[in-house]
Amino acid sequence: MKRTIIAITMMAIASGVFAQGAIISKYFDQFSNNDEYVKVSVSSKMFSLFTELEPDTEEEKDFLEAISKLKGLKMIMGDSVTDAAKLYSKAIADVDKAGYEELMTVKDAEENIKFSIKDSNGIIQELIMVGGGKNDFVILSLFGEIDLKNISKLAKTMKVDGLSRLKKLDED
Amino acid sequence: MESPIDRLLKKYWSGETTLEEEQIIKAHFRKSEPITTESQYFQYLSELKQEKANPSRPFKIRSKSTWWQVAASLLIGITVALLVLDDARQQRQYVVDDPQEALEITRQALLMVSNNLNDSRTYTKELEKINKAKEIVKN
Repeated sequence: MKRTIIAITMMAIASGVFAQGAIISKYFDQFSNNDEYVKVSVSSKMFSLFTELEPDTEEEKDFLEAISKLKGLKMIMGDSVTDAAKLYSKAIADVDKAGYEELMTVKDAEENIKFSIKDSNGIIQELIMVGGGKNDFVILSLFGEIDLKNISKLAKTMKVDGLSRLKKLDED
Repeated sequence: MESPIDRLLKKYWSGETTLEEEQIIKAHFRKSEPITTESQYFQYLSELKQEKANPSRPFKIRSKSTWWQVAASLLIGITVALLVLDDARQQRQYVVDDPQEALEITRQALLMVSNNLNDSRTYTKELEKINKAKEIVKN
């Protein structure tokens, strides 16, 4: 009996560790042979490298501060998806099922965006953003210590539409 | 009319028999022909006693089940390791190796998140809860 309890506890801990970014990983697998989607992953090693960078502008300083406690970034996006709406609602269901809490939903005529989080003691450990438009689909996961205030400050200082620039990056 | 064995049984079920009397009951039911619940019970008790008297048997059972445990845990361990390794191999191909590119991607991704965060006027209660928790931590 004691052994069973220990085994179950260990399994729970192990699955908790692997669960980080597990949802995104599933989509990586699903679209592994599909070139229509951009798939990127930035490792924790890379993020630790970023902390060594010296900011030369105020804007850069804000940005480096916002990412200083991040441990990973995974993202999949496509802009010519045929059944984007279906994909979006399925992703939302997956995220809900995995025990993430809804942070907020943004809906407008063109696109639906839903943010979900996992937190412990009020500190956000993982942020998942799922977005779906007419032909767009994006799922993005940030993990580490996430400070929403810092992140939302970025758009105000940089004043660039992230999404459109990312698309350009993809074309290069 | 009560037979001597019935009397003994009555005593047995109320827990008043001596060891000798219990032996008499067991001896009786070993021989008894009509199989009743009681006769089966006492036959079972006698069998249990025989098993205990044989020291090599419990040991054998134990070693066999230990083997199964070892085999099962090895199997689980190997399966998990393979799954994790395979997952890691598949994920590695998407990892951005160039720091400059990684930084740029992170910047764009965060901007996208940031923009969407700012767009929304529909903050849920969850966010308020977190902000409150943060204030408590800060103060």
